[in-house]
Amino acid sequence: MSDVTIERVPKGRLGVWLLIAGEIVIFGGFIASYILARLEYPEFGSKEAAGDLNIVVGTVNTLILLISNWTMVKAHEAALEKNVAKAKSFMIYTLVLGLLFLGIKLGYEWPTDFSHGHTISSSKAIADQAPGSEVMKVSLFWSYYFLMTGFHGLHIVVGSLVIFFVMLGISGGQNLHRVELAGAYWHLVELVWVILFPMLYLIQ
Amino acid sequence: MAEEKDYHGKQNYVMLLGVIAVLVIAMVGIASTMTGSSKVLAISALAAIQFYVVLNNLMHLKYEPALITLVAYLSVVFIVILIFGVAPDTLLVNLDPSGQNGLVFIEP
Amino acid sequence: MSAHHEQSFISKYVFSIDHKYIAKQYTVTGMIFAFIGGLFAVAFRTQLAWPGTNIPFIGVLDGMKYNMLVTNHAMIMFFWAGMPILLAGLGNFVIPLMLGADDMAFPKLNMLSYWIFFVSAVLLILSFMAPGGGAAGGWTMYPPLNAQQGVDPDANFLVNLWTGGSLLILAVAVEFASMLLGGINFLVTSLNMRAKGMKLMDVPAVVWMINLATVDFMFSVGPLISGAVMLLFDRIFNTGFYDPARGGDPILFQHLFWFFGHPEVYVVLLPAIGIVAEIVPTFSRKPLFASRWIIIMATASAFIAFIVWAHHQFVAGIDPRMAEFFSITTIIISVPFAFIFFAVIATMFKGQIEVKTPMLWALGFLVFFLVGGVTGIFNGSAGLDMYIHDTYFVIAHFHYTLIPAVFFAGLAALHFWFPKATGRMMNETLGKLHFWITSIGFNMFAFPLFFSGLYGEHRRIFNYSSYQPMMADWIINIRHVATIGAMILAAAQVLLFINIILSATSGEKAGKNPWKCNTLEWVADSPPPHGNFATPPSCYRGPYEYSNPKRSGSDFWPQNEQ
Repeated sequence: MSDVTIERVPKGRLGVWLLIAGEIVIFGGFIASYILARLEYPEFGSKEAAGDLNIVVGTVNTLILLISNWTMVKAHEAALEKNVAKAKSFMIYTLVLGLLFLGIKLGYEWPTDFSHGHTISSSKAIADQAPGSEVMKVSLFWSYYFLMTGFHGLHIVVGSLVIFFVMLGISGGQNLHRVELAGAYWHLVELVWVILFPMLYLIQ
Repeated sequence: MAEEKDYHGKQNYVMLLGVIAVLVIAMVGIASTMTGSSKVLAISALAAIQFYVVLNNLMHLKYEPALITLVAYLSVVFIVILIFGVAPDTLLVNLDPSGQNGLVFIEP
Repeated sequence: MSAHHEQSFISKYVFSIDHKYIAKQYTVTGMIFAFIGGLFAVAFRTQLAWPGTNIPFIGVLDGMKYNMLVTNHAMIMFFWAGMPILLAGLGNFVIPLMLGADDMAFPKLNMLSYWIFFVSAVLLILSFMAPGGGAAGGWTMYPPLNAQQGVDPDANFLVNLWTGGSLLILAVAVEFASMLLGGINFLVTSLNMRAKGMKLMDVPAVVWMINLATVDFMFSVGPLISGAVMLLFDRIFNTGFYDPARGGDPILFQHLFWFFGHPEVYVVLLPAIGIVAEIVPTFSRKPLFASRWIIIMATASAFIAFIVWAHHQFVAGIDPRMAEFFSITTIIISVPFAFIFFAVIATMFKGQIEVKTPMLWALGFLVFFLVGGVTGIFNGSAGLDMYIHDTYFVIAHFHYTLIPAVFFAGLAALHFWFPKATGRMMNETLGKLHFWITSIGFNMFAFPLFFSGLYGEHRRIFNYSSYQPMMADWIINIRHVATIGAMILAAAQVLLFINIILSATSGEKAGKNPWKCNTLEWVADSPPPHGNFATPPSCYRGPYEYSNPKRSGSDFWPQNEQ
């Protein structure tokens, strides 16, 4: 630590980026599986399958997440200026927006989907009623939808917790570089959503 | 601590936010007007641009040292390898007219 | 250089953040599991050789119990013995010491990753206690069998979670999360905390190899984590990701599994090669031949490792054109390893070879791994693999790669760094005896299987009595020989146990540098205190300056001396 020279990347930054790369590969596994399942069954993302998704709500949610990323960048800017109060308030905005995203997802979108009869195991229900029907294959879309949005939501929860604890830790003006690291993790959530949103909502 | 070393340039984040928001709206617009494979291609292209902007500008990858850039892009490269390695299998199933024989009887 | 104060028992031995204790925790856990996995193997080999034998503690094996033992033997040996010993244990011990650092970059993360690993081990043990017994669907966890076995589709998800198969999948996923955190630590430490003046090419080969293995692991494990989550959901939430009747695709899981599974082979192999590349120059008193090219070749192989995975699936019905591609890449990946082998052998040429126990194990690795490597080319050719797939030929092949990698190289490392870790030398006589008995047992067990495999003996049958072609006298004899070999192999490990206990308590005191070695870990005291070095060492040259004519008076030139 005393011997960190200039050409060596600071360890916190390198660690967070390796973590992000690892997470990208995990999400990549889901995304690759979805793309391949779709290629195999073109009817997979058809209107009958994904038509019950509310694109307007999805778009609004996307924009909310986007703004939360903007507030996080502002928090980082404030941290660079050593302005603790400003950084903290922007982090609170980020948390509020993140929870709003999660609230819309879990409080509105998922219940609406459930009310249309779509659950993570809806293919099972259809298979019980009408074995061998084509609808069954289509309904796998919902398994992927709940799997991926759920996993993404989990990362929002983790990211929020990280931001929360970093926020508690910077009160005295120390550890300000952590704001950026927490921010990088938070941007990962946006990075994944940028792919998930068109993949699940738009390409039908 | 060397942690404090600054790796940043000034960026206009409001404009960045605007660009991504416009791209999102454009994607939704394309989704409701276009059809078929051109729609899929257009949306994929816009998503790729967004992915690049988020990674490069929002996550400051363009200011990071080469090592971190390498790490970030390697993860994307390996996923692309995975998709291209698996895709022929799933696509070829559709080429088999009967759907029963699997792959064995198809002329390569 | 923090915390030279006395630590309490808990913080020193249990929740330790000292990389050396964490390394010992990993190694001991791994060795315990390796022993359990070995006993499983002896149990099912006994069933194969003498069907219907009443095996102590397990009883007569039926098909289900046999499958359970085979599945868990592979799982344990790979993920709870091979990886913790070679990657986590060795990496934690040597990386900070060889780089001249006082500890890992993130010591608390390091502790956390061990305890996450511990949780995964507990989950593994719990999986045996679940109703219906442990997982029995094969270590590759292929669906649809593994998506359905032991699962009641109408039951509550907790009921389905409390089955051997689900708990094993969960354990594997948790273990990967732990290794992922550990891997971040390795890479950051190696890139960031090298001693003053240490350039990347001054880093010893073993540290390079461990880091390359970590890169392989980190970038390949993601798809399997997601694939395992999907498989778990298939089991507990009745999704149909891998159920063809419901739109899923079982081949997808095979791809996700082997996209990880093949780099995983190199995760185990690369550290092993690194160990040998460390030990051979030391005991030949010669610089490592073409050390820079060894590292370049290993890097190349670490990346080629990502495009060979489908050679495990030639009979799974993949696209024949892809099979051709993967055949070619599989054969290409043998080129860098052949280079490394020749370079290590060239290191010994005209050296003053001193066959101490670590060198003996390293030579054993070179000789036996060669058999595994060459037969790998047979398996990699799609046409031939169609015939030998799932026979004992494949079993013999991968035991000839993995046993040399995990056990021969792992034991070479244990004998080599034991003086550093405990401050005492290991007993040479016992060590050599252990080596010879292990080698005899291993070859007796694995070599005959090539022949029965070529004859067509299939690997997933637990009792051959009703297969007349498989009951010829010579093939029964092969089974007997192989089983006796496996028993010798397992029994020989008692010698290791005795040796470790005796040497750790009453072995000859080792000085700072018993092997007259150049790398930085030998500068520290044996055993190194918390914080490792009294003063942070500086590095002036590469690690392999043996018998350098510019150096007068001794045939080695430590990296920290001007």
